[in-house]
Amino acid sequence: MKRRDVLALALPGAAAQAIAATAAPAARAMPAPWRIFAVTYRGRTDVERGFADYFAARALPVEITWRDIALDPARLPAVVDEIRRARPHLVHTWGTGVTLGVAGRWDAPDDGRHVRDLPVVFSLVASPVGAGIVPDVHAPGRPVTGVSHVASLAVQLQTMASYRPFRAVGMLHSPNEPNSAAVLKELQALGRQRGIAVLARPFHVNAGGQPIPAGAPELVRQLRSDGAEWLYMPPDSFLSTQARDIVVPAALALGLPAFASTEQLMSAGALLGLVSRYYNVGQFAAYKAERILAGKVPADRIPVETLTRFSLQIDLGVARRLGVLPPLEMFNYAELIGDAGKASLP
Amino acid sequence: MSAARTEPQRLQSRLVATILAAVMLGMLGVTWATQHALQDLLRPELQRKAGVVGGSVGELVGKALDHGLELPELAGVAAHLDAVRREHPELAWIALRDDAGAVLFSSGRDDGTRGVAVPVVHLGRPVGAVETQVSDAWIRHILLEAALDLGVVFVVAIFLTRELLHTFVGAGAAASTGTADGAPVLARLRLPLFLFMLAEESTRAFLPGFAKALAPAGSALSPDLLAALPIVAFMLVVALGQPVLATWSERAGARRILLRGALLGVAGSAGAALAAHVGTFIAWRGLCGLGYGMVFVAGQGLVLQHTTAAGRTRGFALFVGAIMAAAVCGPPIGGMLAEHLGPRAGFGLAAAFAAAAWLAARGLPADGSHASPAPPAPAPRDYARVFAQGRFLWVTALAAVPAKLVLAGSVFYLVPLYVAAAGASPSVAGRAMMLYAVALVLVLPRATHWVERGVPLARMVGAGLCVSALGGFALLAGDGVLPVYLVTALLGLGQGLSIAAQSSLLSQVCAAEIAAHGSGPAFGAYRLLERLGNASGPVVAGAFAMLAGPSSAFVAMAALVLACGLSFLLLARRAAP
Amino acid sequence: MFARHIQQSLAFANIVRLMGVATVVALFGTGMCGFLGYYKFKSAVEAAARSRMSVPAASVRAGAEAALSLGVPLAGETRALLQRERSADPEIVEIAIIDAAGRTLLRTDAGRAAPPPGEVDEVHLPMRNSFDQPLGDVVVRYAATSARGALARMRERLAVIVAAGWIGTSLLAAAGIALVARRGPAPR
Repeated sequence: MKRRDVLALALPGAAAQAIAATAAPAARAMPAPWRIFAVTYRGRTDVERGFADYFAARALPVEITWRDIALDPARLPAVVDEIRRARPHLVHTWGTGVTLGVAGRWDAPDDGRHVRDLPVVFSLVASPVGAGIVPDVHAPGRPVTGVSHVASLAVQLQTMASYRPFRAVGMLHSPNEPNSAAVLKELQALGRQRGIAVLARPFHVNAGGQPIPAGAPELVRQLRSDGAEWLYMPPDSFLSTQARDIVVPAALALGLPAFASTEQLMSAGALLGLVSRYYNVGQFAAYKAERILAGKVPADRIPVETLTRFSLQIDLGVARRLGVLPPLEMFNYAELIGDAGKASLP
Repeated sequence: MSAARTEPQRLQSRLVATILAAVMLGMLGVTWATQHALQDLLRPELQRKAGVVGGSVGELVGKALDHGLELPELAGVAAHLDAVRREHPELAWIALRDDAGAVLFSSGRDDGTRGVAVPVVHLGRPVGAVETQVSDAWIRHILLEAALDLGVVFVVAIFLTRELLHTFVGAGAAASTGTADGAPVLARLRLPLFLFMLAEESTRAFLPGFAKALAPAGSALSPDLLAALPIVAFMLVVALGQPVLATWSERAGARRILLRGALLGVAGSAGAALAAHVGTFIAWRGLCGLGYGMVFVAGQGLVLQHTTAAGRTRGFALFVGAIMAAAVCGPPIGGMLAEHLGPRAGFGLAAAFAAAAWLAARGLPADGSHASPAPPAPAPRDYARVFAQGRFLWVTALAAVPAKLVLAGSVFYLVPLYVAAAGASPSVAGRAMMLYAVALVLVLPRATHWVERGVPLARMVGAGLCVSALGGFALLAGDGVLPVYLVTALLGLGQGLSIAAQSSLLSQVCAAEIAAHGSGPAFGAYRLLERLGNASGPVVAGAFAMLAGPSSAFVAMAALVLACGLSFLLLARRAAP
Repeated sequence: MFARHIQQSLAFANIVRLMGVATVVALFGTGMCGFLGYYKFKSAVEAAARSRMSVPAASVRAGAEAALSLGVPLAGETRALLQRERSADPEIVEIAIIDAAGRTLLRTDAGRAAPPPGEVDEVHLPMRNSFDQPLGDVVVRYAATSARGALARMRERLAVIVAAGWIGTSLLAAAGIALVARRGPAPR
C-alpha cells in the first residue's frame, strides 16, 4: 500500500519535481507536494493558467486536481463529496457560483454538504460580502479567502475623473440584488465625501420583484436630464444581460458615456472600463494559496483583495462617437480598442 | 576681551581682516568663474536630455495619431506637458507645434532661447514637432545651493587664519625675541595640537553613519547601538588611559609621547578608512583613542613643564583655543569631503592631518630637564576623601557629567544619525557641529568675563545646563534639519556658560581638599568622571534611539539634562558656600 | 604676548610669514570653492544622464510588465522593444531585464563594442506585478561618454580658475598686508 501511494504521488508531481530539481536543487529535500483541488466553471481559463504558472515559475511542487462543472451547478455536490473524501491541502474555486457551492455561505450552519474545514481560495467573485461568502473582506473569519476582480469603487471613480472630470454620476441597478444595493450605498458615501452627486434609478420590477427591461431607455433619459455626466455600470447580473442591447445604446444616443466595472460590461459598448486580467487574478490567488500552504499565515487571516493594477480599457470608436477623446496621458497605459479615426464614423 | 584695545591688538585684527577680505574676494571670483563654466558645460548635457524627453512626448503623440486622432483635437495635452515639466524641473518650456510651426499646446514660459525640436512622425510624414527649452534660471540655482557650503568654508577660513597667525607669527616673533617664559615652545605646540585635533574632529560628521553602515545585517545588537560603540571605545580609552599615560609621559618625555601618539592617530585613522567590519572599526577607533590620549596628556605635560604657575592659565588657554578652533573647522570639512568622496576618504583626510601633526611636532624641542619638579603622586585615600565630599558629587554628577553626556550623546552621536535618517548629507551634520563650536567660542569669553566679575557660579552652571537642554525640545515642534541646528547652537551656548564657571566652582567646593592634597585628586577625579560621561553619552542616546527613534532620543536627552540642571539649582541653595 | 611681538618685530621675515599664512588660507578658500563647484556640477551632469536613460527604461518596463502580466513569454515582442530602445540612443550599451533574484531573463544582443568596464553606468527601474510584488528590474547600461567629457572639460577649466584665483588672492592679500604693515603702529 505504501508503494502504491508513493507511485500515485510521484506520477503527477513528477513534472513539478523535475522543474524543482533543475531550478532549485534544495527543493529535492522538500516534503511531499501540496495537493490542490481546482474547481472550474467553464474549463481552464487564463485564471487557471496564471494559477498554475505561479507555482511552476517558483518551482514549488504542487499537485493540482482539476474538476470542471461545465456551466452546470448540479455537478457541484459530487465535486464537494470528492473533495471531502480526498482532503486536499487547499481548494481553488472560480467565480461566485462555484465558491458558494463548494464553501457555502459564511452564516449558514454546517449541513455536511460543503467544505468547511479546508482552506478555500476563490477567484473572480465580484462582491464576496454581498454574495455571503465572507462577512468582511479584511477579516474573513473563516478559512475562505480569495481575489475579487472588481476594482474598488474609489479607484473606479478616480479613473472616470481622470478621463473626464465630473460632478454627477448616474447608476442603474437591480433592486433585488444585494450586491448592487451595497455598491449604491458605497457610491453615495463616496459621492458625499467628494462632492459628487449620485443619481440612481432602479430597474422596473414585475409582480414577483424581478427586474424587467421595459422602460429602461426612459430611465437612462431621466438620468441624463437630471444631470448625469457618466453612467456607472456596477457588477449587476441583470444589468449585464441588458447592457449591450438596451442600456448602452440608449446612453450613447443621449451622449452619455458609460463606465464598465467588469469585462463583460465593457464589451457591451462602454466607453471606459477597469478590468482585471484573468491571468493576474489567477497569479494573485496562487500567491495567497502559497502563503496558506507554506504555513505562513492561516487562511482566516488573509484578507480578500483585488489587484492593485488593472487594465484600463478605452473604446476609441465610442469615444469618437461621443466626441469625448481620451487624454494624452492615457495612451501610455490604456488598452485601446478600436480606432478613433473620423473615417470610421457611420 | 579688555575694554581698551591696544594698538598691537588692533593691528592684529586689521591683518586678519585684510587676509580674510582678500580670501573672500578670491572665493567670490572663483565662484563667479565656476558659474560661467557650469553654464557653458551643463547646458549641452541638459539639452540632450531635453531632446530625449521631447522625443518620448512625441512618441506618445504619435501613438494617439496612429489610433486615428488628429493633432489639434488631442485632449489633456497641456496637463501631460505640465506633468512632464514637474518630473523634469530643468525644462522651462515644452510645446507641441503643428506642421506649420504654430504652437498648439504648451507648458511653461517661452523665453526665446533656442530650444530642441523633435519631429512627430505619423505614417512616415512629419506632422508636427515637440519643442523643449532648458531653463537658465534652473542652471543658475545649482550653484546657489552651494552658497551655504561656501559660507561655511569662509567661517572655517576665519578660524584657520587666526590659528595659523598665532602659530607662525607668534613662534617666529617669540624666537627672535628669545623670551624665557616658554612662549616659543607653546607656540610650537599649537600647530601640531591643532592639526591633530582637526584630524579627530573632522571625522565627527560621518563616523556614526559609517559605523551603522558597517553593521552586519543579521546581528543581535541593533545597528543604532553598534554605531555608538566606536565613539564609546574611543572615549573609554581616553578616560581610563589618562592616569597611566600621564605617568608614562613624565617618565618617557612629553615630546616622544606626543610624536608616538600622533603616529597612532595616523595608523588608527588609516585602519578605520580600510575597515570592512564593524568590530575592526571599533578596534581602530580604540587605537585612535589611545593616540588622542597620548597627545592630550603629552600636550598638557609640555604646558606644565614650560610654564610657571603664573603663565599656566595662558598656557592652558592656548591648549583649549587650539581644540576649539579644530572643533569649528573639522566637522564641516570632514562632512563635505564625506558627502562627495565618501566616508573612507574622510578617514584618509584625518590620517593626513594626523601625519601633518606628527611632522609639525618634530619641531618641538627635545625632552630635557623639567622646568618645575613633578608633583607627588596623590594617594588613593585622597581620592576617597574627594568622593566623600557631597558637594563634589553635586558639581560632577549633576553638572559636569550630564554636560558631557549630552555632548557626546546628542552632538557626536545623534546629530549625524538623525541627519542621515532625514535623508540629508554629512555636510549638514558638519555644519550643525560647527555651529555648536562657534556658539561655544563666542560665549566663552563673555562667560569668563562674568565669572571674573563675580556672577554666582552655581547659578551660571545651572542656567547653562538648562539652556543647553532647550535645543533638544525643538524636535518636538517638527522634523527636518532645521531643529538640529537649534539643538547644537543652544547646546554650545549653554555649555559655554556652564564650562566657564565649572572649574572655578569646583575649586571653591573642594577648597579644603585642594589645600590639603593639591589640585591633583580633585581635578583628576573630576576629569575622569567627565570622560566617563563622554563614554556613556552615546550608549544612553543609542538606547533612546533604538527604543523610540532619533527625534525622541534628542528630546529624552534634553529632558535628562534639564532635570539634572534643575536639581543642581535646587540643591545649590543648600550646597553653595 | 603675541600682539607685543607683532609690535616689536615687524621685520621682513615676519611679513613673509604673514604672506605665507595668507597663501595657505587662500589655497584653502579657493580650493574648496573649486571642489564644491565641481561636485555640484558632477551631480547635475550625472543626474541628467541618468534621467535621460530612464526614459527608454520606462518604456521597456511598461512593455515587460504588460507581457509578464499576460503570462506571455518575454522573447518576441519584448525583445524587439529592447532592441528598438537601445538603438534609439547611441550611448546605451545594453538593456536587460532581470528577475527578482538577479538572473537575466532577457538582454539585447552584443551589437556594440563594449566600452572599458570602469566606464559603464547603470540605471535600474524596478518592475512590479499587478498585486505589487516585485518582478525584477529593467537595467539600462550606458557609457556616459558625453557626460564624462563634460566632467573632464570642467576639471580642466576649474584647475585654471582655482590656480588663477589662488594666485590672485595671494597677491591681493600680500598687497593688503604690506599696506597694513607699513601703516603700522607708530614706534614708541
